Amino acid sequence: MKRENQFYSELAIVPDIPSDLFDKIENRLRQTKLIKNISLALAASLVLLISPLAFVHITTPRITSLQPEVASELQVMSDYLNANDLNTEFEQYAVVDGF
Amino acid sequence: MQELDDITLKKAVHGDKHAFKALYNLYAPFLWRVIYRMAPGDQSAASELLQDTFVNIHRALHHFRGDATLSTWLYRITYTTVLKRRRLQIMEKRNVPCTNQMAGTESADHFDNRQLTDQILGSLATEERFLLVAREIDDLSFEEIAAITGKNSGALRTQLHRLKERIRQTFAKENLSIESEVLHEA
Repeated sequence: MKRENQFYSELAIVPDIPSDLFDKIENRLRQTKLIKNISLALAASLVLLISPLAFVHITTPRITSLQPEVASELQVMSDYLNANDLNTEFEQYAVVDGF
Repeated sequence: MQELDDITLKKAVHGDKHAFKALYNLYAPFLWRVIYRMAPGDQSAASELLQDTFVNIHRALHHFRGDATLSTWLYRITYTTVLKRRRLQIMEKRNVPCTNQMAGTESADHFDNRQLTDQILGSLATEERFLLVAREIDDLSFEEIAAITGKNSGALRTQLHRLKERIRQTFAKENLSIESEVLHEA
């Protein structure tokens, strides 16, 4: 019983807080603040760098590619108008007419 | 426990360094005792934990709403900081022997008691150590401890009763072994 009572008395007895502990806490807080400020500055720099590029990208007119079927039809029409398909037709009709 | 006055608290919340120092001076001894006993026999771990705790307090101070007393709120941050470190298993991996700062200045009996205290505390879970110190040393009510730990006050009451029973039985066995040693030598 005596030792049990001594145990509970002993619980309350702890070494003194290290005297430099508050200085260490202040250093950590300063470091955290510095890292936070550097991160914010980097993020702001990135935003400033990317913004003009994004602006250029948005304002540049986009060239959309045609679907293959549409491109094919347009090609046929173009060939007809420019008489590019004549040689192909000659060959086809030559076979039909037996030449 | 004495609470920080409202004016200093307000200044600390707004980032005043001197006010934060005043807060530290008032509450650090209590929190140090709790932390030291939650990390039994390892003063360097306790020192790091106290730093972590006050860094967390500084970060969270502007969130303090006054729903609980400041001391309860600070205990809660201490409790969660120590448990979080335990989950990272830093304390479990440390095999630092008991650092007795007062070795050589006390009687052999007192030294043995300190070792035994650290041994018994080392056999308890971190939450149990907190409960023991908060209730037996800092005299917090079960309702306050419930607010700190998030557990039911009735359950805490039962847990402490069982814990003290286990400690009592440890000492009973200890006494029996001492007596049998004495008889053997005789």
